[in-house]
Amino acid sequence: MFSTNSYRSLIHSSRWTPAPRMPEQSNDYRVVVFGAGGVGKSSLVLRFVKGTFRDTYIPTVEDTYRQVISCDKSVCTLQITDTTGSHQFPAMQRLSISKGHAFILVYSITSRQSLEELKPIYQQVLAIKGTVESIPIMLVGNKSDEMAQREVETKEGEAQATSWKCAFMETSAKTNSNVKELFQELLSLEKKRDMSLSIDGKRSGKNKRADKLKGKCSIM
Amino acid sequence: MIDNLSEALEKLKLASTDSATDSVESCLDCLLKALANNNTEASMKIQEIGLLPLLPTLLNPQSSCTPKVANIIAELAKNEFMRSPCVEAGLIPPLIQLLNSTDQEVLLQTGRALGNICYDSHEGRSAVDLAGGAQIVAEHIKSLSQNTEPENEKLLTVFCGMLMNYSNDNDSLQAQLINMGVIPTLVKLLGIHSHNIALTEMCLIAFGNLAELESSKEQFASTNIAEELVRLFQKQSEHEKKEMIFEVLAPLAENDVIKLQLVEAGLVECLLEVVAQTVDGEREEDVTQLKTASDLMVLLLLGDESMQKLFEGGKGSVFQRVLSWIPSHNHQLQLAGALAIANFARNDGNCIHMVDTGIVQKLLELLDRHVEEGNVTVQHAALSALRNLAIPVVNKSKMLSAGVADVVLKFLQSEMPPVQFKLLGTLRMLIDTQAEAADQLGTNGKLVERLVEWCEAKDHAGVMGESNRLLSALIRHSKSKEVVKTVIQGGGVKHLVTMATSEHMIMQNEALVALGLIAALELVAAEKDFVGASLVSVLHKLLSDERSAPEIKYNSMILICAVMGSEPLHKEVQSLAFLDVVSKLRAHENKTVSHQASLTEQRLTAQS
Repeated sequence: MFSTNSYRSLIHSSRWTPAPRMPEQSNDYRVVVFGAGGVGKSSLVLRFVKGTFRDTYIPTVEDTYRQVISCDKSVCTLQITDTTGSHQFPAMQRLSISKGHAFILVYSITSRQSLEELKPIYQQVLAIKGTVESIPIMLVGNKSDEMAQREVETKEGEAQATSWKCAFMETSAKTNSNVKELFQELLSLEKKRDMSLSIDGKRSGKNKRADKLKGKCSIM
Repeated sequence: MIDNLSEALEKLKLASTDSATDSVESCLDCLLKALANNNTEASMKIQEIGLLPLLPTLLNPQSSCTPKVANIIAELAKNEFMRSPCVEAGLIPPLIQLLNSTDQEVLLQTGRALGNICYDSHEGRSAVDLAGGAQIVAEHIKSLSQNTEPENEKLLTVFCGMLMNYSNDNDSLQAQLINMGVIPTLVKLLGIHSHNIALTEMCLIAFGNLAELESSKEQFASTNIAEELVRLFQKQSEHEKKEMIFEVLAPLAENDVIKLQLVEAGLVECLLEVVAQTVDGEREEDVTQLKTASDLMVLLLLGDESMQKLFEGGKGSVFQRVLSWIPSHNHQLQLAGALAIANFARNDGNCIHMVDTGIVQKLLELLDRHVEEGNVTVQHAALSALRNLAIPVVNKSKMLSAGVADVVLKFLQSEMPPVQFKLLGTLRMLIDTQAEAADQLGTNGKLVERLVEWCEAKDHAGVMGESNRLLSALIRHSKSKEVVKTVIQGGGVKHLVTMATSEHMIMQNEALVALGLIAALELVAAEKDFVGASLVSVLHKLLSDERSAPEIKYNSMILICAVMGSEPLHKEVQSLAFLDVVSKLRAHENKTVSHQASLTEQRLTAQS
């Protein structure tokens, strides 16, 4: 119910398959980003992190007392994983999926092939998780700025998302179109946790609050 | 039923053109009955037959049928698919007109109709906005606020609901309401009508919506809402009701003035009671309430005045209670306790008192419980507390003796930036003025290695910055050859050189002083790294830049002189024409700088 101010992200690229040093932290929120090489996964994530990660460090001379707020809602791990090539071993992929809390499946609107590649991934998520009902999944058509090279129509993306019962969005990491909205939407799909994301300093707990109080007396 | 409805609708269509009141009235009754029976079906039929455009003429302020017509519209607008049609049929302007009526029934039904049309409807809201409906309703609420008759309270509830539907999720409309001065009015309502559950709830919903806006908080602070909400909270026994009030308190308590008002109104005692009641509870609502109450407690402590009031010289009951949370088995309470302590630790007096009365031991015990498979939030909170506590000089040696550094080092392997950040801050606070501790830590190879790693953490400016500063601090406070050796071996020199190019003057300076010590104590060992990191060009830039501060110029020149003892570095200095830059500095307005410039110039000339 309370939202804290800062959002921190830790980007792991699967290419370096890091062995975790610490046992898992229970309040880690893991978002796994799948997609073929070149669809713009990293750009998307970096765009988002740069845009909202208010990580300015301003050192002071006399070290001042700092107010302390809980860091819990601000720990979110974004893991980017290629669906193609030898970088991703099947066992690693299964592990990523089983540990993931939310999934972003990215294709490029300029490549039908990249959408095709997501199909087996989705099936795997379904197989490993059992149900996708309570899991935030977003199908994302990136590179929406490249209209001339479009191969996948918006309608097709929407239809795919409908058949998968997941959310859908077209984005452009290049023009920063819909990037913020993507992550906001993803986090708002998360029902089980009190995830909130502060963008532009505004409390995004607003939606949650409105929901709780909204149903109560509005129809008169 | 449907047959009668069709009949009634046909009659109504005809009747509206000659307004024979009796027959109109019975038709309206029939519609209302049909809507009560099956709202959606009846609404669709009414829509199909095209009745809506005929309704404006029936909304005659003089007619006795008007309340019923408004009632029908209210019922129709319960359906999402009817709202836009209502607007398109031109119903808003006549409804707004009806707000000027003095008939309570007319006002009630009109309020309902407008409120339901606005529910989640952009068109509805725009139309009401255009017709200036919000202002009229707001004024009504104000003028009717004192009347506690049940019928009037019902009307007030509807009007408030209408304003909320009008403005919900729309920042500019909410701002509009705030500018109209609804906040003081609504707070008054809460005070006068707290016995009326429906109206009270509506006020809470209103506060919850409006409190999201920054502009509202000052207005709230100038009312007695803090008192009213605490009083209301104390009366509640149901979980749901308490949650509603909590939801309103949270955004309000972000304002420091309101924090103090809440403390003075006795909120803290309520929160402590909730905590005591729910800490051992296993139901989900217990867990939720525990979190909400303890989170709210921490929020109250973020304000300087409210915090100091609750500290009461360290003897206050609130402080004592919060202390008792730290050894709890309940993670949420541990967390809240650590956060509370961290926030009490925000001035010298409090910090010194707390260390003297044994807080450090408690925090270390807490941290020890979270080394293996620990909770990140608790780690972060406890380290934050230690960091603040380590600021007053007299506390540093006490904390070092208590073994704080050793415990902190246990978290060196953490991958969590918030934890890393506070770990770094704590160590840096601890070693300031503590040469022995700086020496011990600075010769810890594992620590230095990790620091060097973090100096490259480009994703986390905070961790990167603090790591650089700690590296520099270890050298500056120890002034130790062994520490310098360790840093060189760990690959830290290049980072210190990069640190000297920071946009922040303080970072530049801390880097230069550390580099100066390295050059003075271990020039030979550091030579290769100095060359590799282009130290000399960095210094040239700093000296040439007119905007650099006197300290920077001074320390850069010290360094230049120091590195002259190395052959390769000497060559670099000569090749970069330092003499020009340094000569100019002899005219610098700062005497220390100008004096050093002379000395440096002499040195450069002698060795050319």
